[in-house]
Order: sequence, then C-alpha cells, then structure tokens
Amino acid sequence: MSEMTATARLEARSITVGYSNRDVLRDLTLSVPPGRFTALLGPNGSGKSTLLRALAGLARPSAGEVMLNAAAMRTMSRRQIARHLSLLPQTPRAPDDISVRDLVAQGRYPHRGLFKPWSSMDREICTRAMEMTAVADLEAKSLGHLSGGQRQRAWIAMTLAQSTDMLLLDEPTTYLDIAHQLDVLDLLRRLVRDEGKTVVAVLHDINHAARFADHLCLLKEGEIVASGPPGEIIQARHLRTVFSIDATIIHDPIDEVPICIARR
Amino acid sequence: MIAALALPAVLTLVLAVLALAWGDAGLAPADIAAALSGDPVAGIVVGSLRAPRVATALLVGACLAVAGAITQAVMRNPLAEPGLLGINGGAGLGVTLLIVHLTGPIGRWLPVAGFAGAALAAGTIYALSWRGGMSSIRLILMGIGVSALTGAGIAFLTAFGDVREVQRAMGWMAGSLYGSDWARISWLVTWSAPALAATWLLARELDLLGFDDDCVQGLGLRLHLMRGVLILLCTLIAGAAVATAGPIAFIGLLAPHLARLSIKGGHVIRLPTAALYGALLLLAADLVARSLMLPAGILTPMIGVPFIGFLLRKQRDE
Repeated sequence: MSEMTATARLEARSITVGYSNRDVLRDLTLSVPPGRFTALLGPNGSGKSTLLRALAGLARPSAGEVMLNAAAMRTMSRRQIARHLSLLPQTPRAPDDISVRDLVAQGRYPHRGLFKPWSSMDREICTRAMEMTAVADLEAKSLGHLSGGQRQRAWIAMTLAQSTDMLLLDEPTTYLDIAHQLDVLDLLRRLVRDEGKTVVAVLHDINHAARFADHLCLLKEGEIVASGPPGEIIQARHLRTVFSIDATIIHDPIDEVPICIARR
Repeated sequence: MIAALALPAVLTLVLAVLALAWGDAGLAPADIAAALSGDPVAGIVVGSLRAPRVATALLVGACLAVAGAITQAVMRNPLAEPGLLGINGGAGLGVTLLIVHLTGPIGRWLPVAGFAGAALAAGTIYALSWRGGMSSIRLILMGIGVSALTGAGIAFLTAFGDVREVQRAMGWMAGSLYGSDWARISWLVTWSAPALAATWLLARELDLLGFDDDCVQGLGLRLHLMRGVLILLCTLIAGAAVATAGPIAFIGLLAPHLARLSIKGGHVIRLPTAALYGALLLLAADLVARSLMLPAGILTPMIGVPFIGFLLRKQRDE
C-alpha cells in the first residue's frame, strides 16, 4: 500500500468540495492507482461527478488539496494541468458543424503556443488518436452527423490527442446502446493495458464496472464507503450500504467476474 | 478556400471602383487613375470626398463583422451581435447626451462620446453578469437589460430635448457614412487595428469558446480571462466602428454567417472572411444609400431581416 501511494500521481487529500452552502464531498481522500482503470460508483447525488471535477481541478476544494504529481493543483495553471490530464464531461458540447478532424485537433491546444504553428507531430498524434478510437474514416464528417457511439469515440479521440497520462471521464457510456457501451469500455481498458494510461471514469452500471475496471470506489453522500478491486468490492453488504439494494452476487463462469443481480 | 474568398474580394473591388466613379460628377476609370497621378479636380472628388467614404465603409464593415464573430463565439449564440453587448445603445446614449445637452462645436467630440458610451455600457454588462465566473446566458440577459435601459435614456432625452438637436442625434443614430474624412479614418484605424490583430491571434481561443465550459477548461483554456479579453477587444472594435459611423445594424450578425456558409474551418480563416463580407455588405449598402439619399444604417436591416428569416428556416430544416 505504501508503495502505491509513493507512485500515485493524482490524489485527493481530505478534500471538502461544495456548491454555495452545501458540501458535496466531505473530507474525502483518494489516491488514484496509476496505470489502472478506476471506476467511481454511487447513487445519484453521491458526489461522483463532483469528485471527478475536483480531480480535474475544475471544482475548487474549500479544504484539503488535490495533488497532481506531488504538486498542489491550485498552484498550477490550467494549461499545466491540461498537459497531464484530460477530461471528458458527461455531455460535452461543440459546434455541430465542426468536423471530427477539427474536433480532435482541439486536443492539441494545451501543447501549442500563441505563435507555434501546427506541426507534423501534432498531425501524427491526432491521426493516431483517431485510429485508436476507430474514427479515422469519419474525419471529414461533421460531429452533428455522427451516431451517438461514433460521437463519443470522436470525443475520446480528442482527449487522447491531448497526450496525457491520465484520462477522466464522466459517464462515458450514458446514452449509448449496449454494443457501443461495451466498445467504449473496452477501448478504455485497452488504453490502460496497452498505452499505460491511468483512467478514472464515473460509471452507472455496476456489472460493467466490475468487468472492465481494475479498481472500484463506492461513494455515498460525499464519502468513499469502500474501494479496492472488483472481487472485494462487489459484495452484497457494500451494495446494500451504498445503493440500498438487496443483491445477490454470482460469478461469470467464463472469466470469473462478479455479477450483481439486484433483487430490489 | 481561395475560391470562397475570391468571390467577395472581387465583388468588393468592383463595388469600390464603382463607388469611386459614381456620383454627381461621374468619373471614368481613367479619371480615377488621373486622380491617383495628380489631376487636381478629380483628386479632390476622389481623394477627399469619395475615397474616404469608401475606406470608411470598408473599415467599419470589417470591424462590425469581426466584432459580430466575437460576440457570437463568446455568447455561444448564432443570433448574437455586438449590439447585445450594449455597444449601440451605449454609443447612442453618449452621443444623444452630447448633442442635446452641450452647445458649441461638438462635431469632433461625437466619436469620443459614442466610444465612451459604448465602452461604459459593455463594461456595465460585463460587471453585472460576473458572479465569480461568467456564463453566456447571463451575459445575454444583462445585455438585453442594459440595452433597454440605454434605450429608455435615449427616449427620455429625445422627448424633452430641443427639436433641432434631437433631429441631429436621431440622424447620427440612423448610422451614416456621410461626411467621412481621413482624420476620422485614422482615428478608427488607431483604435481598431491593434484590436483586430489581437483578435486574429486569438482565433484558436475563439474556436474553443464554442465548446462547453468544463471541456475547454479541461483543454487548458483560461476561460474567464479569455472571455473578458475578447469582450474587451469586441468593445474596442465595435465601439470604434459605431463611434465613426453610428450604429449600423445587422452587418455584425450577417457577415459571420456568410463566412460560415462559404468556408469551412476555424476562426483563423473565418475572421478574415467575415471581415471581407462585412466590408462588402456595408460598401454595397452605402452605395445604394447614396443613390437613394438615405443613411446606410437604414438599408442594412432591409438585407438583414430576410436573412434572419432564412437562418431560422435553415435551422428548423436541420
């Protein structure tokens, strides 16, 4: 455990985050395991999205500190943060007429200076990002003309073009059909396994999280109730505490992943 | 891309030559050439009457177009124009105050009053919509509010002012290029040129403003700072244009759309295209205005209103 903390590059140290007069997160501590896929789970209003925004430096803690590579995030500029971590909000918006190529190119923004022209390296990175997400064939299409799954992959390509070690995503599978959900989750897992990226995603589906993530954090009322590998976390008692559901846990006979059957 | 720019460029050139040649004393292209090479009579007609007017139309049109492009990006609203930032209302109030309440030779103070009024109104809107951050919708609402307020102020002043002075203020508010001269142009260039250049350098940031807040901040944009800077630039550019020619509506709305319809790509190419279309539109409007003896500002809505209908229809079809 101590070794883990030593290499952890993104962590929240007893942060309290709130909007106007309500604290959404209270004294929360989380060390994101590097090079792993972490899923944040919890009921609506448990503070998952707020935690993700705090980790991205977008929600300022009123107490505590978010640390990025051992530096306090509040002392860093937006551009410095953007070179280390990229964020995909839940419903990202862009002009509908923007082409996939132009959308992905925005990912290069934190790496470009005022007078620094578009380089061949920028282009290569964008092409690779589009290939990894299988949107290279769509590069000339405008965002408004894509299907939900294609659009989400194009957005992920943009965050990849940012060339960061860390990827934070807020419910990346919402509004997608089951096949596209699995596509996106599989892509995230490959990014972790093949590219060595650290991924943190807010997910709604417990079974998807158990299947694709390496590390789960269960949130309730602004606090982390349990965190660890899926085998440890997907347990009836945890699910009762966090989601107030009665669940039976069985195991997928093929690849031993825990499966939650919610009864009530 | 070149083809998309060629059309407005050629049209602008043709209209500019036409505007130089046409008038009470018609000039053949040969006379214009003579003016350039020193013929005194043609030189006066072209050099001190028509050329300043053409130059003003081109510059003011370009300024309004770029200011419109900024407003549409910052407010994330395709129907936004610099008037929503209080520029027209503020300038109108400043000028009306000056004309109705001060006596003496105030002619050369008109642009100053217009500019100050515009800057003050835009500053007020920005300050009122600041809540530890800035949202596009709050900016629009405050813009509508402050514009209504300046409109009420103008109505009050004109209701109780001296008829001749009110007449003069109303004439200014119609928006006209009549009486353009080189001194005023150099003033306009001084105020707008650096701001135009700075805007063009911020083309990438303008592109990003079309995205949602979290997304662009995640990309490393200092969103609130950039909105503030761009609103300032927009105020300088539109304020200088309005101070020079009075409030001329619709160019700021139309030109960025024409650019968007004719060319694909980011603001780095869209801004110059919009500027070109703005120059073309105002030059055309002023040419028609001269032939009908009307201020150009009265003609631009005649093109603008049908175009808005077209835009709304197009949006509905999509």
